[in-house]
Amino acid sequence: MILMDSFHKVKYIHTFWQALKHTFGMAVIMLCILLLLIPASTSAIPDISIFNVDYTHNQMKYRFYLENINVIVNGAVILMGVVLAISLFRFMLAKRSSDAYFSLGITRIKLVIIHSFAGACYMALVLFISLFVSLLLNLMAFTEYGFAPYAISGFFYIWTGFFVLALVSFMITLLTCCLVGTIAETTFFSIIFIGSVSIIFYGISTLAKQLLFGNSFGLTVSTGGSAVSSNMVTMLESFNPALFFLNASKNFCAQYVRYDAYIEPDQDYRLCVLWIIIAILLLTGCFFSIRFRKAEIAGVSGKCVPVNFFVTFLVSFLGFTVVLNTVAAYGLFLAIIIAFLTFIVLYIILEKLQTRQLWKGLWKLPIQFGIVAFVVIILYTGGFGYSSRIPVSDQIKEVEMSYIGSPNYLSSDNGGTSNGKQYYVRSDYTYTKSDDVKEIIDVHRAIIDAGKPKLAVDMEHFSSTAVPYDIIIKYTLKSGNEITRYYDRTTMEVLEKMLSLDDTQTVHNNIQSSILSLTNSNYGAAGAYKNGLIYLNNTLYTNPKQVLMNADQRTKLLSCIAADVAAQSIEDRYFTKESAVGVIMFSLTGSQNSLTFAYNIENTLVYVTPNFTQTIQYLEDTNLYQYFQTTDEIENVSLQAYNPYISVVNTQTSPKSQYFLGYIKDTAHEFIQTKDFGNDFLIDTPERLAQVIPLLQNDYFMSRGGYLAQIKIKGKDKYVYKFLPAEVAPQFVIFNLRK
Amino acid sequence: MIKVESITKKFGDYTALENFSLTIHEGHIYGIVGYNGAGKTTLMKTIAGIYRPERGSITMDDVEIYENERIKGTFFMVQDEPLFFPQATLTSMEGFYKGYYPGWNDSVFKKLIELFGLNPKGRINGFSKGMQRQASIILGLATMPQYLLLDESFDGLDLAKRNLLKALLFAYLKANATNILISSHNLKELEGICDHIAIIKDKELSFGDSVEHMRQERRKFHVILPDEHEKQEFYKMGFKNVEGSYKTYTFISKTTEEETRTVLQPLSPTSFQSIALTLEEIFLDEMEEFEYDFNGFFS
Repeated sequence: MILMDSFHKVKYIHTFWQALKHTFGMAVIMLCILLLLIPASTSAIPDISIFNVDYTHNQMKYRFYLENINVIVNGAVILMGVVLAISLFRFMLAKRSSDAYFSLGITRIKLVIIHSFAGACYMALVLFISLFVSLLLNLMAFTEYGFAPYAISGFFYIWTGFFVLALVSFMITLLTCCLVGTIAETTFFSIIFIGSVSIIFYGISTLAKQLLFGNSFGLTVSTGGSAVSSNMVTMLESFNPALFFLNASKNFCAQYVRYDAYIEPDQDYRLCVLWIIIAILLLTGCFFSIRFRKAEIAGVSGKCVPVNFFVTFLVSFLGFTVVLNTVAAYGLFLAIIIAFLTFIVLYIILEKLQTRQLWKGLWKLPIQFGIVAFVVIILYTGGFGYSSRIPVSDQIKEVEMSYIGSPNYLSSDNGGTSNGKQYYVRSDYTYTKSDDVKEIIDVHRAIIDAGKPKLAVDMEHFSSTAVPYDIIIKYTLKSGNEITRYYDRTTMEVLEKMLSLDDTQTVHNNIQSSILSLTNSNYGAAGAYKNGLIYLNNTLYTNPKQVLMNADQRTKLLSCIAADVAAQSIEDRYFTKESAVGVIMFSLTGSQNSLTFAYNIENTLVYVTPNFTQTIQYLEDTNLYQYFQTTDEIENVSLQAYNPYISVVNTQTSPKSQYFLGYIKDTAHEFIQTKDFGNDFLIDTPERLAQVIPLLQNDYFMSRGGYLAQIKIKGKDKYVYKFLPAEVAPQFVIFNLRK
Repeated sequence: MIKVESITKKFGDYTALENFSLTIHEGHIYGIVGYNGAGKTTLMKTIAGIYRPERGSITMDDVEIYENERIKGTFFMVQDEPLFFPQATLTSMEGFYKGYYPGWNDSVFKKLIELFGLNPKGRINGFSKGMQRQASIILGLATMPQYLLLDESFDGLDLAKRNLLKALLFAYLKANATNILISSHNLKELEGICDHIAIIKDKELSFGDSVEHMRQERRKFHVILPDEHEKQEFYKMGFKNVEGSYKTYTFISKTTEEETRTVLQPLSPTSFQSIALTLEEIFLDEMEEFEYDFNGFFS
């Protein structure tokens, strides 16, 4: 017995040694790849080498590999797990070797344990060598700067994380190996399984993006750079076998001395512990699978029905979501139909490849199809109440909501675009007061009730016209949870309702702070009020005058403006009945923008209407009111009906602000919209001009419809663009522009 | 003693063996025979612990063989398609198997290589089919197993090597308390070597007994009759596998010589001889259900 026990030990060592021997070549290949990706990438490129002091600037503490190849390095580590597992367990995927190994005097489970141990040794060693070489290079490069301890702790953290990453991939591949019959199946299926979490969450995110009204996952605002909410793949990275170490490796593959307020995350080993536990569970699953694995399936594909089902479903589902996402721009229902057809085609191809007996496996198609159809229906019908959910007001701690009103009082550096005519600014306010929150809830309800309308104009009822817009509502509950909703469009009627937020305490206070330079911000309108050059101009923008003011004079002017703005109602501000008498511009950029176009992000405007009593009084007292006067005459006015979709080629596809701000150009036909064909309606008779000109507005919220007006200045090549509201348009205008 | 008890082995919808039982006593050379696809290899692999039966059990001394390290360490199966690693030589394969078989004998290994005239450092994948077969037999015998399973191992060997292998198996059996199982569809190969035969027919054990007892149970007779008779007459008398024409006939009978003579008496045979049956004849007698008539088959 003692001799047999000794022989057993010898046998196990022999098995281990044989496993190492047969996989040595693959391990060497992976070592070469990782040596290239890790130490070579960080040190061998002269311009960006860790040895190049001009590049590292004494700020780099260490860098094991180039940060921008972090995804590739993670991918290589995963690949190592996959190829080593296939190399160590390919014996069970071919008839001869399967029969030979399973006939040996060693149990299947022990074969798995010993071969897995061999794989783990190789993975640990390959990663250790690659990272250790890089560590040595880093120590050579940075020790004199005292950065050695950071590099050493970083080394252990990265090594541990990558080892666990490789181990998980290894175990997934091993489990696949135990379940299927061929190397091709093992390779393809294990990659699918490793990516399964990503596929599922990518798919759900993509479907939610297209189907779920109010979905915020994985969306970015139209101005780019800012995610509404992380997509599900990113949010759930920690639970993803392919991505759980991606972020941590990105943070710790290199470290720098920081001079800003950035707080470096801790090296968190808990995720590694969690995934080691998962790897052990996978190994346990392998024990069960290998014990009952039928040796006769070696070399035969399509023998594991559950695996085939799952893989076929995942790949077909992925194809479905990619096609839906791609074709949705041309019509949602068309996209759904084409996506389902894609699903069926992919299913047929995969089933034929795996089993070669299509008819036998057809029973799975309705089940898989049904699962996808179920998900589509659930999302399309509101995601079990997701679309209609609004938290109760007393549960809400604060809410952040997109602001669609005037950009002339904003105090932050918001993203935006402008092209000298039309503009779009992203901004949000955070509301905490209960009355404000109730107002938000009211607005939110209106957004939900309006649904997801088709992007189209309704010339009969212009307020029903739907336009693209970024509307984000983020509730932070008292429990700490967050509820975020995003809407990429709404109707003019709803946009107009959102203007009611100007009456909230939050917006009112922010506007006042901005004008009165009470904020710390030097950006946007607040910065312009605080530090910008001051111009006074007539309402035709033809004669801007820079006004020099000392601090007291500026303060006085701003306090008058603040008081007048505070007294404005929503109607006064956005749907004024009275035309402006002049324009005050505050400009951080000065020069051309102020002189020609009313708006860019670093300017702000005050349209002084007769209601601005305090401002007018101050300007009169200081003899500045004269600069609102002009002797310019109007030669003619050309009109186009405002229609965001007037052009097929230039139809509005991205958000544009609906708050019209006038501007001046040197050329004609510089409307904010481009008509494909047809002439503009020209008004050049004195009677009609006298009727129309007083009705033209420099600023107006276009939600109720109206007409874009081009004013030709007599004797000058100057064209001023204003807005004629539909509510006050004369009959002859309505008649001539009724189509 | 190996007991195969009521095993059923399926491959998907196809049943290879059904309710199959067989007892293999020690110290014998068993021949497992049957038509192509009868289940011979399936049975061998199931006994070797490679396949797991859906029903039934295979035990050695009442201990389940499947996944039993100790027992499986005493088995060696020479596969019909043996495993050789890429670029492997006999020397490198020795290194592989040596670690799994406590009985490995270096001296036997070297002697066998010399006997078969193979190059121990030559790439096995470069050998001919017959030489590869010899290589796998050498490896199998060198492990000195208690149970040696040979699956179609004579296939591909030339006549000289077949005789050599037969002699080796006898010598091995004589020198060690072992059991040898040989599967083949070629009864001529097993002639003179197997002392027990198991015939697989219709997924079950059709016949499993010693060759001696099989020969006692049936006999072949050669008779010459004064008149010509139809074969049907002999079949009506209960004889089988009737061959011959005009007045000379051979047939197989399960009755004794005396009883057969008595039955034939009405035909007044002029010559009556009892001939020893070959294994092939026993097999055909056991398996053959009908005679083929190929007249007009290809016209």
